[in-house]
Amino acid sequence: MRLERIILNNFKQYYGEQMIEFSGSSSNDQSNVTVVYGENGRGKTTLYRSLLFGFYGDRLLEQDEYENNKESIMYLANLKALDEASTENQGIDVGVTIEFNHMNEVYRVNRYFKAIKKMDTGEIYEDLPSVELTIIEKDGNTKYFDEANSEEIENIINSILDNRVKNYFLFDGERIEDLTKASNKQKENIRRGIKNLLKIDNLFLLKQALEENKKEINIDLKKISSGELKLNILKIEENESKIAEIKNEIKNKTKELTFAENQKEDIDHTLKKIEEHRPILDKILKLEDDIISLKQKQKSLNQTLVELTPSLSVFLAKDLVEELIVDLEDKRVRGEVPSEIKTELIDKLLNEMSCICGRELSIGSEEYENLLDWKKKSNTQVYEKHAMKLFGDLKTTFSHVNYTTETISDNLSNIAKVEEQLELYTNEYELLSKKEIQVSNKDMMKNFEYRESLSNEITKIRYQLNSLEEELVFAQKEREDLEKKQKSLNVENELQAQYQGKITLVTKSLNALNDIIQNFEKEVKSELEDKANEIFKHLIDHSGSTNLKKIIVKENYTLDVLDWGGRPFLANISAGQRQIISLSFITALAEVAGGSSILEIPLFMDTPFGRLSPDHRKNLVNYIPTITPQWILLVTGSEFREEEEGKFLRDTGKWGKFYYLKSVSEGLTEIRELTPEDLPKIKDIERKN
Amino acid sequence: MGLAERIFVQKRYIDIFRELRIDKQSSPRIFKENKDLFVLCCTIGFKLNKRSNELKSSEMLLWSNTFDEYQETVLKAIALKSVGNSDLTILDKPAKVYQIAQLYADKGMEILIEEIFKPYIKETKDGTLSIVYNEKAELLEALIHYVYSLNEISDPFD
Repeated sequence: MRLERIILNNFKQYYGEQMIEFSGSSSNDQSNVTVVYGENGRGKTTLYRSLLFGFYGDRLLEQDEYENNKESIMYLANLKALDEASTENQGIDVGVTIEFNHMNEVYRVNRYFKAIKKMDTGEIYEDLPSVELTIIEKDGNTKYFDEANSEEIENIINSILDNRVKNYFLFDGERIEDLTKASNKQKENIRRGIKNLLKIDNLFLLKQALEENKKEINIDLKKISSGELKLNILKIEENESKIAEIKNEIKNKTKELTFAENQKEDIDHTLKKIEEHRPILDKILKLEDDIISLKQKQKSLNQTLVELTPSLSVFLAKDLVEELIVDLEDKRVRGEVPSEIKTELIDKLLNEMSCICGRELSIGSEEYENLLDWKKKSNTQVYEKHAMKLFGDLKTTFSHVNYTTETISDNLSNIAKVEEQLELYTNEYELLSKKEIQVSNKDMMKNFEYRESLSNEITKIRYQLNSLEEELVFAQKEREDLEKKQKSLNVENELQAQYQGKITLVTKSLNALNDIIQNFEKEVKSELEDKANEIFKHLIDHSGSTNLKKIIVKENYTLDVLDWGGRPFLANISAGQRQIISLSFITALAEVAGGSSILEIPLFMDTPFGRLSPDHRKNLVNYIPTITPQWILLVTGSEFREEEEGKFLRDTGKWGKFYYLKSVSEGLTEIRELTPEDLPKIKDIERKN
Repeated sequence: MGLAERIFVQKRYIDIFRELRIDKQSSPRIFKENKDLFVLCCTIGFKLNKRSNELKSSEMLLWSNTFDEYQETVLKAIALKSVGNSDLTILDKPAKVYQIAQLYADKGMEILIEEIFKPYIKETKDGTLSIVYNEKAELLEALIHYVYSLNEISDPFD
């Protein structure tokens, strides 16, 4: 990049539109040094500020931050112009236009805004700045970007001069030494900016991308490495042993079934042979039952007969009893035996003392004596007494015998019937049994019973087998599912392997990239160091060269110096030496970044000489123009002496443009273009003032 | 009849009484009590008009008070008939009544053995008899039929 001109419009001290054109805007220019001469407060730093505002829209400089000016409002608009416009209730246009060329294309960037000062309150309002960029390309075509493409404009400018390293090139001499004592955040910023400048940013981007890629692969890997594979394998093992168990059980049950079926078949075979005899068998069994029950009946009838033996014992006396009854009856009829009534009547009459005719009996009366006599006659006769008793007993015995005779007869006849039946059944039973049955009936029945139990067993086993088959089908289905899952898990597993491979690859790439970066950085740093030291040697004065051996570019691109003893010496050096070191590094950086050609970034120095020794100043003035495309020097009268810096610079033949910042009134500066030869005149005027 | 009298049978018949009264699986009892066989023997002897003159080497079989009222009456009737119908005083002499009964019974047993029990009778050296039978012998039925058949015989006193 080579700066062509900067146009300020009502920007800070610069009233109206004022312009500075820069030496060395073309590579063909012999001279490349522009000196802007002005006392403090005239607007040197404003020029620097205008550059940063024009390129990046910065309203504040780093030094503003250092000076804690954040709180106070810094207006960019020119106050005189604001006042003039406010009298007519008008606002003003404020802006900076920078024209530069880069890679044979011409750029014009313009950043501008409206500002107004209220007449009544005196308050100042500044709009947000807008930006526009025009590029005249090599082929003469023009590209125009306006505020709508502000981002693109930003990108384009950053690609030409990275925002992060702007302070290296557009620096304030007072601050240049900050390079050697930056904060960590600034260091990292510087580092990235330098990397970008060195065009190794892409390598870091690649490294970052690979690292992110590795992270993502790891996340994916974690997602698919859920342990399901292991779990599934376990489940498959369980399922397999379950299936084996079921199959074994089915085998056993089938064996049992076959055995039971064979047994049943054998029995059926036997039973089939005797099946035709089944009716006979049934009959035999029935006969058996009947015989048993008949025998029981016979036994109970016999028991009854035994019970009847007391009656049987008197049975043969029946005729005798009957005969005696008749005999006694005869005697009674003949009066030999008093009737029961007669005897009872006498007792009754005597007890009640009444006559049979109803009259009362009195003791000693005729009737009473007659009765007593009658009774006496009866009582005294033993015959009559026994006869009466016997007569009664015989009568009851007779009826008893009659009754039990019938009972015994009935029993006998029942017994006879039972015996007859029994004989019939027994005969039939023996007949049937003899026939063709070789197996005993009971064995036969056992066979039937066994067959029955076998049938039950077979049904049971079949049911169990069915259940087992169902279980097996279920287990096999489960196995299919598990195997399907296993397949998909295996795919995942393969995927895992692929991911692992990827990770390995990415890791390898990263390592390789790191090596490359490290080597590259090492080389770059080493080159930077070499170049910086080379420049340093040209710039450093005698006393410095006796103390300081070498500049060291540290890991984060910050700087240090070693003394001749190889010890870090930065803390002990002077501010001027610091400035020389930083300057050496920056110019070295520009050279290294530019590769074979010089990096085309102008070096913008604000009051660089203040802290430098005369030797340093001479060295600087002699050497810088040879290694930088454009050198813009903002100087005060005290540091830019006619016979020293001015002379040295003129002697180089590189000094092209000379501007004098004239204070018109308080806060108002006018840029006047002079020639380097006009310096003595300026000095004269100053001396007079 | 007041106090109970001892009733005797020939000693050699005692076992037969016992055997026929004891209930065994192989040989079910035929009589519940000794008195029933005793009375039966007595009526058989009387029916066939046969009685012993005396009771040789006898042994007590039972007490007279175990007879039921019908057996008691029958035994009296037999005694009465034996002494002639008109002498009712014998009814006052129980010992006489039972003595007559024992003599008939003795003969009755002899007849029963001869007619029914003979196949099953075993005699020991001292002349004691025992009876060995089983259910198939149907002894009781045989007895009953025998008794019934005797009843068909006309009354010896007719």
